[in-house]
Amino acid sequence: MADQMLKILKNLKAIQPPSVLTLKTRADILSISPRRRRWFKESLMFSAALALTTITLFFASGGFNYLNLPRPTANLLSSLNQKNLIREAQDLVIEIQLAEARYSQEEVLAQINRALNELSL
Amino acid sequence: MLAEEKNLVSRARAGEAEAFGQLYDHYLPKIYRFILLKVEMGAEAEDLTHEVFLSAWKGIENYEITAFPFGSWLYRIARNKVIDYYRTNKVHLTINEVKEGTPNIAVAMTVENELDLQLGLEKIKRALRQLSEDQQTVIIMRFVDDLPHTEIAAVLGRSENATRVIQHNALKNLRKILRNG
Repeated sequence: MADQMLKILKNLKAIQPPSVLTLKTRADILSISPRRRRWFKESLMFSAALALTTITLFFASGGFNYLNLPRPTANLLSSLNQKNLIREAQDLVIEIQLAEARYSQEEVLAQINRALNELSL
Repeated sequence: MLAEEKNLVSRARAGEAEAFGQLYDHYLPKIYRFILLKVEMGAEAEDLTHEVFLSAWKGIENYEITAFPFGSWLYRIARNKVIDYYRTNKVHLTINEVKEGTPNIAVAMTVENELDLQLGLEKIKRALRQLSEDQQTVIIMRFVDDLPHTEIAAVLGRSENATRVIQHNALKNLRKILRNG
């Protein structure tokens, strides 16, 4: 039984494809050129490489400096109030000066008191 | 493996139709048989065989030359096409359909042998289709086309040992199915 089964399987090797496959289908398949797809793929890759090179050169040569486009960093700075910043900075300086003045006044008063004490003695 | 196969594959990859034509002529009977034993009718086997070679020709650039013959790649494509075919078409086998779809047998055979083969083919086809897809592939590649286990394993994407186990179970099941008629 097993031998017979294997024999039948071996005999199946005699099966041959019909002529439509050996002739017509063969001709149909080979009439299609896979080169078209390759050409498309290559041109796509070339375009991508060209675009990348252009962008790199654009940035390397100064980028947006040549164009009058508003810079994103300028927009960010404009949101800050410049006058307020200056006033705050000036106030800081004033406070320091007042502290120094207060210190000087005390010292002067101390010296005057000391001098008066010496005179009263 | 076809003599000068690597050279033919390289030329085909470069877009040379004649080189692919030679590969086509060499592998067509094997791929056609492989598909025919898995599907119902000859017409469907013809269509699927056409699709296999068309896909191979269109995608030949993606094929990478390996230690396995070019045929392994074609068998893989054929296997996937048959799996897709069964996914998209919920088909049912009837004896009449099998008879309608009987394929061409080699002209050199005698009438008696041809009749035996036709009867054997119908019986085997019905029995094969009761096996799992992997088991069918192993039986056809190993016992019809005499391919080595390494190549079958490559087509199935399994180890050689796993392929041997599948073969063992496939033979056991096939015997049981044929015995029960």
